[in-house]
Amino acid sequence: MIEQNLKELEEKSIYILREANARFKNIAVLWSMGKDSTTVLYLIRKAFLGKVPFPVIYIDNGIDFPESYKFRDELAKKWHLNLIVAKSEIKPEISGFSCCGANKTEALKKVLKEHKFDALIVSIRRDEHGVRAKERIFSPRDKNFKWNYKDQPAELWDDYSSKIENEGHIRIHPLLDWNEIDVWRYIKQEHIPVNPLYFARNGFRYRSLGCTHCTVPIKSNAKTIDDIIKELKTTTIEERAGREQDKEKEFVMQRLRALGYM
Amino acid sequence: MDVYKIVVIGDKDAGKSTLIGKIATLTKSVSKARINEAKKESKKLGKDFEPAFILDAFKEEREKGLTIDTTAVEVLYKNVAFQFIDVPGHESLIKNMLSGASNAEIGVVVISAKQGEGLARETKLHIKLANMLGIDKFIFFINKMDTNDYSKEKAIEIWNETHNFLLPSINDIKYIGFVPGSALNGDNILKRSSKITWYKGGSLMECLYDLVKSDKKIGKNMPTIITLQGTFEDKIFGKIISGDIKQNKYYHLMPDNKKVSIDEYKKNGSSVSLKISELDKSDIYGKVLVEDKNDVTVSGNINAKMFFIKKPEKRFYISFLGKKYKASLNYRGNKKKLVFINGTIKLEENIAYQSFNKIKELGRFAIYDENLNFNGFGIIN
Repeated sequence: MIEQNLKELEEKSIYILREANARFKNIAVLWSMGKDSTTVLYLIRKAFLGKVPFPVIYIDNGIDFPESYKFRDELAKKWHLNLIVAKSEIKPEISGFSCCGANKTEALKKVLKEHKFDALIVSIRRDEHGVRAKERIFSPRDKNFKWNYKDQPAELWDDYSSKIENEGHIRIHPLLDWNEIDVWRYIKQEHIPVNPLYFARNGFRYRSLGCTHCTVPIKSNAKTIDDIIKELKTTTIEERAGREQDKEKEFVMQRLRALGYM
Repeated sequence: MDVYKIVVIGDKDAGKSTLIGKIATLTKSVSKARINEAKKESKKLGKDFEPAFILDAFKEEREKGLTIDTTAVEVLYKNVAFQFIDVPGHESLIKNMLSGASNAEIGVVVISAKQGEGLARETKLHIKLANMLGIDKFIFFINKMDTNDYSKEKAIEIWNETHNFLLPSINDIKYIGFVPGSALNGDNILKRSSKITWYKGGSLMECLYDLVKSDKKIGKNMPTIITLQGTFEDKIFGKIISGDIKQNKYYHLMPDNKKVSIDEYKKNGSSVSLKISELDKSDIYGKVLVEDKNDVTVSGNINAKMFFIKKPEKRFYISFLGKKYKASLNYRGNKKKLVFINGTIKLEENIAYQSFNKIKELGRFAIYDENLNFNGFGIIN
């Protein structure tokens, strides 16, 4: 796994976040309590004089891990987050693809509409998935959250397109260039708080966090951030191997993203 | 570690995505799961393993065997990190090609040596555009050599044709390389191929490695220039594009031509937040701070080389440092699509710019039509 220059990644992410702030009136940030979106919250604090000046949306389906809820409440207090909890209903008969699509995405649609957000900061990375690797830094969605991936706007240099069509919004991707290992190296360097589920207990840890229904842990003895970085240097396993929605059927990620999933 | 950005350009079906997919597979730069997924999908479509599927992740791309949009994959080779940027070859997808190529430092041009393929019109267009975007180092990969028995004559023929095209078409070239091989078979990708005995040079990755190793980035004593990108509370945000910043020093806000001093600053690399008490913060987006007024030109008439995707209209917009300006161009030439125009555009207001050769960031702009749809880009002379 390639370890990039953290200084350069940081300055670019800060640039992207400030550019979003200059261009949009009503920005929100999506927080899953995972390592990537927590790192983005930290970068937002760096970019905006120690503050998180945007509402932080957390989609609550009621079945996240208890550790995550505790982590959420502690960090929300510590960083003075303006937290919007979007309740998403879990129906036992719906799982996998439909679960993420119907539940999480629908809950997010409701929140964006209600608060009239025109931009949403999302913490996806190019190295996570081939479909996410096709994303732009500023990526438009229409009002139904549809991603028109066959005709994305041009994005030359750092001249990002902020044209919003028919009551849609723009997704802002400040972490697109980062690799998984860079996120962990940065967490270590900056002492960023991290969800305890990432660390191994009884020989297992979570490498990627979803909700309790569709996330399974990987075999690991990595108990510290250093252990995780060491593990990543030698692993050949995909980061999202424990995430059901990625592998259920071919092109699931593409279909989910086209419908507005993160 | 530094990551060198390489864009792979050329005509559709020349084998660009296949080449990057092969490099990623051979260097083990993508996970087994991603390779297995590509293998499984290849099989489903009745094909042998298509390395291109590692890049072409969309269903439509795989079914039609073409790249729709740009993507990138990182590769580690002999402890040097490369980012390979894949772009579509189809003329109709040129905006996606430009999006990918605009971020690259080096171009790998893939030309198919298969009978009936060769140096295509689209390849020539790609080379010109990449060069206009500032790419001055190219390696030509003569692909599909397995289809002609690794023929020296065929490779030399393509190389001569390419060379004849390059001389009058591109400017300020610092490096040109030539590697014959086969992306699909892995000939001359990582290791030198034993099948091409007449060729004495290195493999593609060896050439790229040597090229970036010899490419020393010299930190010149450049003038200080900061582009401004908005405000937050009492601070102004910006990006240092050259030089460095000093407290209590006077700078000129351009194009306003106003002298200001920086009370306080905080840097995160090139991203800075500034406190300048004497400045009206309501209108600073897209303006610049400079040490010496003469480091930029202030004018509303810009002489530039431009590329238009659709037929150029008389009125359009340019996006310069993220801000859009109304522009007009008196152009009497033949109005075609995909056209290069050298001319002077007139803006509705003055901007502070510099020639692209001197300071890239202040010498380039994107072009949008009257409906704000992307229509090309320009480089200031």
